[in-house]
Amino acid sequence: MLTMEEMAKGRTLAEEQGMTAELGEAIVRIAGAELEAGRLDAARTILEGLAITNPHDPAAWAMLSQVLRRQGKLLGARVCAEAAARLAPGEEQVRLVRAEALLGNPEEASEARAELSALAGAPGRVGERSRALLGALGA
Amino acid sequence: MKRTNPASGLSAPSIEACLAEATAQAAAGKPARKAAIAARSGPDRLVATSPALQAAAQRLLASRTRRATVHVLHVVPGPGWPSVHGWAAAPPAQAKASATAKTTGGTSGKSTTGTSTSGEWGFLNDTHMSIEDKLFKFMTLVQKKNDKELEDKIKDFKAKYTKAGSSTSGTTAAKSSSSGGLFGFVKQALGAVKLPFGLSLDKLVDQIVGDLGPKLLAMAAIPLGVPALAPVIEKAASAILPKLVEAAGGGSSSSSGSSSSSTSASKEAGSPDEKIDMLEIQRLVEKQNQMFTCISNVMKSMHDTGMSAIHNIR
Repeated sequence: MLTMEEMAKGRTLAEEQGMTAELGEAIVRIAGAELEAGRLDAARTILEGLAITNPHDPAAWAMLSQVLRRQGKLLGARVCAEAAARLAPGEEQVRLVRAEALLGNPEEASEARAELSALAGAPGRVGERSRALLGALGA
Repeated sequence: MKRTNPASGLSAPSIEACLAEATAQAAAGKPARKAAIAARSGPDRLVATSPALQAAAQRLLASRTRRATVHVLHVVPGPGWPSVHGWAAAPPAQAKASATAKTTGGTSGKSTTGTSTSGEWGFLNDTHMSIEDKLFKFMTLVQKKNDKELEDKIKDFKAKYTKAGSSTSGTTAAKSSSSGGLFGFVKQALGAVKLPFGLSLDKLVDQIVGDLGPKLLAMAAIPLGVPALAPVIEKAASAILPKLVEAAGGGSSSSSGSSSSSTSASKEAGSPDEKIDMLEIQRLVEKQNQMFTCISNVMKSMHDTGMSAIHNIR
C-alpha cells in the first residue's frame, strides 16, 4: 500500500495495481453511464476512486466535477474542475467543464461566459453545449 | 452556502447551476418547454425561483426547437489530449519487457536485472570482474541509494514539521500562512484573488473539506501543483472533518471554539507522527550501519579464508 508521501512524489496506485490507461478510460465511461442514468452517488464513488487511483488523469477530475455540480456541491466541483484544467489546460471538454463549474460562483460568472463564448465555435458536443448554455444565459 | 431568493424566500443552489441543468434537460431530448418547467418548478435540486432564472426559462420556452446538447458531457481522451502519466503500461509491453529482462520495479522505469552487463546493476553479470570488485561496487550503489532515501526522508521531515508547520501547530497556524497548509492550498486551487462564492476563507475551506473529504482533497493537491502539501492537507482536513460532522449533527458551534478544538486535535494528531518520522530516519541510519557491518564481515571472512590458504601452503 502506498503512503500519501509516496503518492505526492509521483507514484500512483494505478501503477502499483497494474491498471492501464484503457482500464481507466473504461471506468470513466461506466461512471458516465451512471451519471447519465441519474445514479449520482454511484458515479461519484467510482470517480472518487479513480481520481485517487491516478490523480494525473484529467478525465476523472472533469467527470467528478460534473457529478459534484449535479449534487449541488459547487465548491467541490470547482476544485475538481480546476484540477482537470491544470492537467489538460487546452482540452476543450475540460475547459467546458471548468466553465460550467465557474458558473456556480456569481463572481466568476463573467469568466465563465467568456470561456463559453470561446468554446462556442468548437466542433461537436462541446460547441453545441456551449452555445446552448450561452443561449440560456441570454448571451 | 445556499442563497435565499428575496423575491420568493426560497433557497436555490445557484441560478446558473440550475440553468445548466435546464439546458442539459433540454439537450437530453426533452422539449424546451418541459425543460424550462423543470427548471422553474422541479423538486429539490432544480429549485429555480429567482426572477433571473425565470427570465432564462422564458428564453428557453421561446426557443421551442432547441434540443442542443447531450445530457452528460462524457469527458473522454481524444487525439488532442496530453499524454496522461500515472497509469501502468499495457500488459503486452510488460510481457515483452519481462521476456528480455526481469523487472524490479513495475513500470516506474527502474533498472532491470538480467543477463545484460549494461545498466546500473549490469556489473553483477560481468564475468571479468572479481567478487571483491563486485562487492565494492554493490556497496557503493546501495550506499548511494540509502543516502538518497535518508536525505529525502530528512527533507520530508523538515517540510512537514518546520516549514508548513500546519500538522504540528494546527489549522490556526495554517490560517496565518498564505502559501502553505490548507488555506494556502485553497487559495492556490481556486486562483483566489477574490474569494469565490461570497464566503470567508474559513467557511470556504470547511465547505471544500465537506464536499471532497480529506483523501480526495489531498489527491487534488497533486494536479494543482502542490504535491508536497498532499500529506499535510490530508492531516489538516482530517482534523477539520470531525468538527464539521459535529457541527452538522449537533448544531452550529461558535467559530472561536471550533478553531481551538481543531488546533488541539491537530497537535494530538501531529505529535505521534513526528515521532514516527524520527524513528523512520533512525531506522534508515541503522540500516546503513548494518550494511557497512555486513559488507565488512563478508570482506573479513574472505580475507581470512585467503590467508588461511596461504598459511597452509607455507
